[in-house]
Amino acid sequence: MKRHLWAKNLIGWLIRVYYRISWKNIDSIPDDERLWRSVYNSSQVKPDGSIKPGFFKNKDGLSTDLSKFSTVEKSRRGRAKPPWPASAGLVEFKVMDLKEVSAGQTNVAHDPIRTTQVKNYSHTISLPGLSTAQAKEMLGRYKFLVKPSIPQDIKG
Amino acid sequence: MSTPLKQHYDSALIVGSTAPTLCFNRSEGKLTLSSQERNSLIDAKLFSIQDSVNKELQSYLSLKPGWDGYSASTFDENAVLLAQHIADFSVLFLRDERILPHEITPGPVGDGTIDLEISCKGKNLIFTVAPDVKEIQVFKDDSIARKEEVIPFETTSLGKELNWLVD
Repeated sequence: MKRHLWAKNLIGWLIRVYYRISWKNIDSIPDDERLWRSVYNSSQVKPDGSIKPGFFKNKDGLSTDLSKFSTVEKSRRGRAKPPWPASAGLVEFKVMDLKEVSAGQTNVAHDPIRTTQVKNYSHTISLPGLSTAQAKEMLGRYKFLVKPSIPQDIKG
Repeated sequence: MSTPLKQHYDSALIVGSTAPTLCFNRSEGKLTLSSQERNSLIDAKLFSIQDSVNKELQSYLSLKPGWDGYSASTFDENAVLLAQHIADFSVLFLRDERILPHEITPGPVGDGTIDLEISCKGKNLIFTVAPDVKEIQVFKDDSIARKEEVIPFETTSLGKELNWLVD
């Protein structure tokens, strides 16, 4: 079953549905899988609309969502209870980007969240966190799936 | 402020001490400012930057847990104060050097640390401060090499890094 988990066909989709419904933990994420990270707060964005390096840093682990187990809207607005920031954005990069900028040091692990407040099966955590130099490298690798709107609108 | 004056002002990164007095150059269509006028404009711009940086840093104190949409930590008052001290020191340093930076941008990090990014003359300097730590992480990029180091939180060390930026 693991062999087909990431397949872009009906079998892959069915297996992913099974994994998601049964909250089955994924033990390995391929390097070319796409990760999504919400641009949730205006202070993460510069006035020119570009992302600040701190967006990619967190020594406690960088949170992202596995794109194959999420939707743009869910990942963009977050999984917590409403109200959600309507003007939040979404950034995409690949597992291999994190590994390459960290020279293979950073590992992306599946970390589903299942609490009364938040339920997010697609959640991953990347550890160890990136340094400033590595975060700066990431600035040349991400792409916006959804650009955050006027920064003031998404202030948390 | 007229458009030519603003353009001239925005492009004025380094201000010499022997600038001519205020006059309109017809051939270039630009206003030329006296040394005193330029310094006043740089002072005004720097203090405006300082004010907006301090306001943004202060706003970090009101961010709630999970402010990044995930599980980000809140910000300690000490970290915000440290970042504000560095911003204030940097602005005063740049004012003394008569240099207008491309940017001074604070940035929150999900682990409770704070970045302060300063760009100038094609160089990029990022200070990262953490609460309860008497050391600052420094990232330097001059488009040829990138370097990261840890320096003590003291004016001599901060001045050395800022000297590198404006040199």
